[in-house]
Amino acid sequence: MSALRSERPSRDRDETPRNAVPSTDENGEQRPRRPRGRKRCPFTGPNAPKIDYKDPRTLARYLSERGKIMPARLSGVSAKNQRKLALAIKRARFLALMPYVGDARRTVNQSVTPTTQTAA
Amino acid sequence: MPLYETVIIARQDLAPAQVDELTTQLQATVTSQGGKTAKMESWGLRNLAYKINKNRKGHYVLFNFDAPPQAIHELERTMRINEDVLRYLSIKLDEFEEGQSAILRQRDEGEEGGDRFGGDRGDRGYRARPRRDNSDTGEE
Repeated sequence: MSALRSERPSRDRDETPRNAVPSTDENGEQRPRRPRGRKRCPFTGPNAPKIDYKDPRTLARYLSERGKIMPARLSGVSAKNQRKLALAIKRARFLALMPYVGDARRTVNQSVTPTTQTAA
Repeated sequence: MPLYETVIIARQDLAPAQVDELTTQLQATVTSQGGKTAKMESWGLRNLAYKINKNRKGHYVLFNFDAPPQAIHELERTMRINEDVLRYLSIKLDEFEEGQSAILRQRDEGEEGGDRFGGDRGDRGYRARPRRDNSDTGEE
């Protein structure tokens, strides 16, 4: 595990997880593509963002377009932080800071903008 | 005494003055039970992500209390009675957060945000229309 992790410490974080889909057929004709090194947990490390239910913008990244919580397998969040994240998202939903169903990214940005309108 | 954080959502059709009145009233209930307010933060009138009791917007207020548990119970009881409070969430904390909470910080950053999914981008000045020869598309 540690060997895998230390392989490439800084990959830029792209949206498509590298360790997601084995791109080949099930029968093992071609060998499934193995993930090269695990994606690192975005909430671990010195300047990682805090998991906070009052920060819907950060939380919105870990929701699908439909508003479901993304599995840690796709986002690379560590198990410990995934639990915290899930709780924070649920709290934010309860306070109507983000939707239970629907595109969180849109809603979140909408609700933040109205007060500050920088002159174009 | 344990530390608590409470966020309340007040009805949208309250005037700002009424919201202030409500917050002082709520703070008074905590103080009367031997609690102290460490911080009070108003997030203003925000859009709700979904309708709550037919309200689309609400006044958000955040409190940090250093108070005995009974004070929080009393606070929640009064809020349940008060119809101007749409919703509240009380959480016990290990320590208070310094400075502004994340919501207000984002607002100050404005639309830039530095977020990958951040707000709109600014206007993109004048650009010449791309010229394309429609050899394959039958539009127009």
